[in-house]
Amino acid sequence: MSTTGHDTRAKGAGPPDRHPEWERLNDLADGRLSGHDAREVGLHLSSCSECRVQLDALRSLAEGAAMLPRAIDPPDGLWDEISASIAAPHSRRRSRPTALWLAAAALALMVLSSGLTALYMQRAGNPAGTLATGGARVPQPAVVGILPASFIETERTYLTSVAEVEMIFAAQRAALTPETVAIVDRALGAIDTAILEARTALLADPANRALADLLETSYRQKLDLLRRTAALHQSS
Amino acid sequence: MTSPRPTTPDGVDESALAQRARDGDVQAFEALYRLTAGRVFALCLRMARDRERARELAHDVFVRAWEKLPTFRGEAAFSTWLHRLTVNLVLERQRSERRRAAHEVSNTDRDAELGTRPEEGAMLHLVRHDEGERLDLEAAIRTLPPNARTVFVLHEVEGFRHEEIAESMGIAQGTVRAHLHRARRLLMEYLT
Repeated sequence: MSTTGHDTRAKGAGPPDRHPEWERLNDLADGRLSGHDAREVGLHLSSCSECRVQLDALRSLAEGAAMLPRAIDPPDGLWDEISASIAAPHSRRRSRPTALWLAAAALALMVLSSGLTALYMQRAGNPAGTLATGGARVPQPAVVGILPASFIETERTYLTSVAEVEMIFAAQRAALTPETVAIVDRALGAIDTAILEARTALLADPANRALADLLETSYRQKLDLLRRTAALHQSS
Repeated sequence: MTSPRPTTPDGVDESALAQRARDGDVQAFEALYRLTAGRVFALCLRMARDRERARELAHDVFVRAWEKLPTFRGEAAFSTWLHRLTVNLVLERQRSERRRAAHEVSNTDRDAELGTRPEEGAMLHLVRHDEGERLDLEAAIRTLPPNARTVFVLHEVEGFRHEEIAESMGIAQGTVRAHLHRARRLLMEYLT
């Protein structure tokens, strides 16, 4: 089937023995040709098998397109990405945390915090001589040093924010269920352990940017958990 | 007498889920995602042509839907509202990409616009021979130039009227017709 023939033919419907231009054939297929024009093209079609083939092909194409599946399975993991985005601090509209979510977040934080620090300390030769898992053992700061100057202000900002939200959390504890409080306390304990470990390691190796990032991440997790817990109370 | 609440074929009360999601319930929003993600992804894939790009667009559609849910009044079904939001977001992204590309016009870009990159043609022809008629058409749609593809998908697959497409794309109805006719010509040539 060739559609190119219609390019070179006369504009308009023309006399019945001339092929209608491509646009008019499309308009006919779409039911957009009005009375006189439709009759004229129809008259041509009655004696032109080439144009009838073109018209049938146009209609088949439309039918084929209309029959394409309306839904195609999205890639695996798409919802996980979406839920992470709508829960992110920069999201324009925050999700309302649920107790179920909080439990999952607490578990994830415990695993992540301990895992990251353990991984680093294994690689760094365990400078503080301690390795905590899930808050089972609290490391003792064995190294005295000075935090990098660039981190001192960052830490001060986090500590101020954390202190503010901790006050809110303390005032709300009584309104939360004992199960929720237990979950939050466990998660906070794990994060505090991670903070202590990362801070100790950073004091021993102040030039290590990865340790500074790890410590900042732990502070951010603590702040985020406290804020979400406060939001949980407000929405309940 | 009140009209029955709209439900999906599976009996899920979509409007109740939308109401809960509007109030901040993520689990309800996830349920809405499970109901509508296939439709959103299909539209994104056909309009974007590339699967990874479609994934990004579908992600952005649902994030935007979440952000806009407080403005959802429930006058139309949630799926209808979401469908319109999908079209608008994809068109918006296409416009900004086109503006960016306008600064970087090259032979490669022109080839892409015309769907004449040889390696792409070879790949699509393989699809044609190996798979069925439906995939033929899907593959053919992907070869269309962006505007022709957008108009064809919105009109022939999604059922939008010319005037709706013209308004969404910010172009004249005559231009919509021209893109549609061009798309059909190219598809028929490809499928021959």
